[in-house]
Amino acid sequence: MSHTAVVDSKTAWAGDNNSPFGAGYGKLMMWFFLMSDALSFTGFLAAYGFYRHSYGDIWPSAENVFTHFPFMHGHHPLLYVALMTFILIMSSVTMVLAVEAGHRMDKKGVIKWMFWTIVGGLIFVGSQAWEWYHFIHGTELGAIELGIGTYTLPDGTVEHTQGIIARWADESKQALLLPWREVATDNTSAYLQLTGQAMQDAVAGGHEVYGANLTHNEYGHPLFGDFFFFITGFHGTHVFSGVVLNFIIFVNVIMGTYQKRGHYEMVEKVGLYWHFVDLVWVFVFTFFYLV
Amino acid sequence: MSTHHHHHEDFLFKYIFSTDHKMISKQFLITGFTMGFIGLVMSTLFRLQLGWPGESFEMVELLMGSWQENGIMAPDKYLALVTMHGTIMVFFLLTAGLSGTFSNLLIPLQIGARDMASGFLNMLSYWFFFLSSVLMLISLFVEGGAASAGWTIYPPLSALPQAIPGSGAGMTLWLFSMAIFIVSSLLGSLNYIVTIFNMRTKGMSMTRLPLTIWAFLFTAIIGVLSFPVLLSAALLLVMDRMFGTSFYLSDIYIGGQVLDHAGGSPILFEHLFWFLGHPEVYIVLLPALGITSEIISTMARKPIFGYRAMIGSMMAIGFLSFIVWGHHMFVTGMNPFLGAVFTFTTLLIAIPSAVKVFNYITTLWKGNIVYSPATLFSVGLVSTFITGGVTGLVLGNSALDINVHDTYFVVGHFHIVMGLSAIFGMFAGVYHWFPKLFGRMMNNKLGNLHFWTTIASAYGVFFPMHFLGLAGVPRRYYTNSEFPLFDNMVDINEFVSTFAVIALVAQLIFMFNFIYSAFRGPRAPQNPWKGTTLEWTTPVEHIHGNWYGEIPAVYRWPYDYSKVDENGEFLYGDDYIMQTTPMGENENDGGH
Amino acid sequence: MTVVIVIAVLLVIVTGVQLLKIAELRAKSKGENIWEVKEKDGKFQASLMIVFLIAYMAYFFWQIYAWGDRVLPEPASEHGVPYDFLLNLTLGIISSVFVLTHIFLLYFAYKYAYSAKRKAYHFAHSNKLELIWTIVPSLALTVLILFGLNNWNKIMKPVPAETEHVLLELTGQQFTWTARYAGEDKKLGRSHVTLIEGANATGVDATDEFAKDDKIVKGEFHLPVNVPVQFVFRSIDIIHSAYMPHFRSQMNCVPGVKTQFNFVPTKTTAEMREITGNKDFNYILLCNKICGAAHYNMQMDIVVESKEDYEKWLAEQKSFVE
Repeated sequence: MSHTAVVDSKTAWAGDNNSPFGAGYGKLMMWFFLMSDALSFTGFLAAYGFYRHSYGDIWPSAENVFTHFPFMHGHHPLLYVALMTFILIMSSVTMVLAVEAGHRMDKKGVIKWMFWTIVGGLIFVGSQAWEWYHFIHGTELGAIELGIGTYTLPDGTVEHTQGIIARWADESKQALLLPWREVATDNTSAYLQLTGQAMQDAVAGGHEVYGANLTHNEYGHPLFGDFFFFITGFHGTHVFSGVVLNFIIFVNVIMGTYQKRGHYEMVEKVGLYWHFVDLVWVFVFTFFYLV
Repeated sequence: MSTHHHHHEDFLFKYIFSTDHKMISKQFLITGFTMGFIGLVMSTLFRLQLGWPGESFEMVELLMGSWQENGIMAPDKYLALVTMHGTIMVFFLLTAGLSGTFSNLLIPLQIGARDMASGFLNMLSYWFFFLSSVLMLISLFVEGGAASAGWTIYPPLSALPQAIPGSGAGMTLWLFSMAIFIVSSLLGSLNYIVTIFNMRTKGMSMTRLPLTIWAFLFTAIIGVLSFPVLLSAALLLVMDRMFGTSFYLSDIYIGGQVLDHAGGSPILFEHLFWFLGHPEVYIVLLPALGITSEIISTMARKPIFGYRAMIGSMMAIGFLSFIVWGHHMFVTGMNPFLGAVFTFTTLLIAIPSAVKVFNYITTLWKGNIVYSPATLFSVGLVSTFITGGVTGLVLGNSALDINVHDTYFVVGHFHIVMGLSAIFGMFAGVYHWFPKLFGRMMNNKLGNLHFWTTIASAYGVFFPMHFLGLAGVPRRYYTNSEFPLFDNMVDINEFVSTFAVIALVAQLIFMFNFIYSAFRGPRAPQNPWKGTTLEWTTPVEHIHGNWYGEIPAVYRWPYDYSKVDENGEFLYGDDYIMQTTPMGENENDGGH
Repeated sequence: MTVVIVIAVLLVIVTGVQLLKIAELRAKSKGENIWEVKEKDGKFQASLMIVFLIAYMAYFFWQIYAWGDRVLPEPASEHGVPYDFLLNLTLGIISSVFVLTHIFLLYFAYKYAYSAKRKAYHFAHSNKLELIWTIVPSLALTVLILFGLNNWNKIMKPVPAETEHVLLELTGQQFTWTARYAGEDKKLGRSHVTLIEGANATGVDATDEFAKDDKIVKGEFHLPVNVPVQFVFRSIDIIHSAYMPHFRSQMNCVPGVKTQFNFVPTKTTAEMREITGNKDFNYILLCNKICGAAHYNMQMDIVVESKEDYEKWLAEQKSFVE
């Protein structure tokens, strides 16, 4: 079974076991599988986009939610996620280096670079778990989920308050921030507030929410939490399975399986999967955290 | 791909866990037909209810137990039957049964390969399908009954057990079964695509592939791209059902209380579902169209007319199928501009379909047609494809869909294109390639009888539905007797149900012929239909690796039927030239 | 009884097997293969194709004759008229295509049955023909698309606020409909499922000024003839669909989303009774999206009457506050 044979377009489509893409069947299968997996993620991101668009003005802002950095106090919006992203991308780089070493049949090189790829993957999964922990745990302040009632916006529209999350403006707990802004379409205008008696009524009529689960979260709309868990969870599962696959192949490399076989194509195949996982993360990171 | 010469294969690996594509194709066929028969019985049962509402059918109570107390079907069990019928027929019979059988059987044989690229993944693909079938059947027996929200399982009905009993355990099993089914389908499709690209024999360029292979290739690509989105839709539904999320649910008051879900939209589910759902019907149809091209050409002793146009139209249908899904959602209240876009793309898809029909008819023109049962079913497919296809022009036009959406007009349309065209393709394929499947021949007279009784009774079942739809009769109604408006539909319903029973009986002829012939049919010769393609060069008895010795090389396209020289005499002495025959010195290859 | 049937079935099967064996032996004794299609058998099947053509076309026309008048009567709404025109135009086009293509298909299938004396004509492609039957359908489709989209845009536009109209909310739930008229203030009061309690079955917000004069009606709702009615559709549990076939009107009712549709009724119930010759005729609202066990019986009558009669009827209905 040829894998990297040189094929030109005339012979490629002509049969005789030539691949039109110059790739062996295993690699081709991996490409098509990745295409189908890409569509699963597309389905989820499309669903996310659907709601993000519908609830655009009241959707929580990721930079207000993901502000923690391990072992450091203070407010570091999206810094840790950025670090995670950097680490995952670097692990793709080390993977490329592993594949390149494989092309030269450099067993030691493959071992070295695959090792760092696995380490990068594990750090990412661990970090994601840490993010989940903090997301679920929530802030000390928490938020108030409002009860039945209505609130009239400056432009006259009346909104139902049932289920709406109102966050404390600061530790003094003097004002509750509503998800609606003073000027509806202007993302820079301030959030509307409840103070004084109106605030106390809201606290009495609602209930406190700390942290996040699949039905409520203190950051805002329930779907924000739902999508966070589901999309990062689905992606995290892929990363974890990628780490497991990489580890199995890593062991095989050490045992000399591919050196004996005469090629490191298996490393290439899991490399493809790993790059895919990385690429999906770039999309998730962009659409979920940045946009 | 090396062949492993097993000197002794135990029963387990030869039959049960075989990795040989020919055995796997038979496994798909048997499981597919078994599920199909169960689906057919279900439809006959609920047609009894619809034809004679409220009448007691004691005999049916024997079969259905508490679902048919005192001989009368319960309304929610009616919906369970309708749901399971649709699910089983669309997925288990017409997707796995049709594609699984013929892609597996024909791809290696017709492209000149020893087996599929990965026999192991192929074997897994079948066993996941089997497991999925078992789970789906088990769901009939759980508490609350089988899923009952229609095969389209829209939430919130499918998300809330309080809304209908079948949305409890039955729906959970449905979702698990379908998740495994999707895995099976993906594994199969990956194999088919990669085998077709990488493992063609010498001389088998892409433009020398039989149209069956092109059809299976496009079908597999569509499947790889569309089934994952169903998986997404189903996973989000599982989350809503089991973990309290609100992806599809919002503002619901049911069973005396307000549910805790907020913010979701059932319309999102519809978008995700139909993004698969529409390509799915082409996954069902394209293999049947490919099979018909092959059989009409072979049996008419004539090249298929417009080989490249046929490939182009399949490609166009495949591509367009991804951008028409909204035509299932015209009346959901989505933005009317979207409705306009989808009307435009939907009516576009009629064009390549029309091209195919005209090409089939032109292939028959001035042919020399041999009438086996396969030929009959292929001609029948063209008839049903026309009949069912044209009503798509009414449904695809958003303004017209308003009054016929979810009525029997739709039911008539999709049954004629899927329940007739696609199944006719499957029957045609079985009759034609029975010798390759079982090394024996089916009985022609019984096959002919099967065809005529089936097409007559099937048109008897589905054609009147257009009138029911134009009269405003909605689908998925347990009975039409609650509305004085539909009192004048009683005789039409009886007409339809009578033919449904006849159609069921007609299939028994096929079952008998199939089972008898598989065991005791006359032994098949090397090339009973005098076809040009490579599968007829393999030995009649199955061997691993398909050919003794070298795989033959190919020198021409597969449609050199009735090729004549300047004197009007057949080249090489007969009305067909095998692909393995090298081109003559002065022979014109017509650009193939 | 079951035993008898089982035995009968077994006997039929055994007989079948024996008959097949006999047929095979007969063929063998004549030195033939039973599976080979003999020319005269082929010609017989071909002749059945013509029989089928005649029978199928006759069946088609018979259905139109026998059941053609059972379809919906003439439209009872303003947009129903161009709707029916486009529908009939489309049905006319597709019926012609249906008949013509079947004639070609089945006639060729008959005429070109196998004969050892003939040869098939090796004719593999013609760009000219492909172009013809790509362009002709495209033209026909363009006409249908343009007509259709023109109608669609008109039908889906909400009634402009300034035009006099009836504003009516229909709420679907398992398994009944509730209608709510906006009162004199021409606005519907707010509603939310969390406010559903007892008699307030659709969750109307009693604190909303606009809700106070809304009128809630069950069982049947009335419409004035020749006045546009703007519907707002809701559901409080699962997806339903408000289907009013006589008015050529349908729109899904989705929980969490408000959908809209509008039409102008043009025929009173009394007029329609005359047209259909059925003195018990009533317009009807049906549920048309699978919604559970009693989906088949979720209905509400609709009465279309003169404006005076309508206003009289409306005045008799209780407002929300009562």
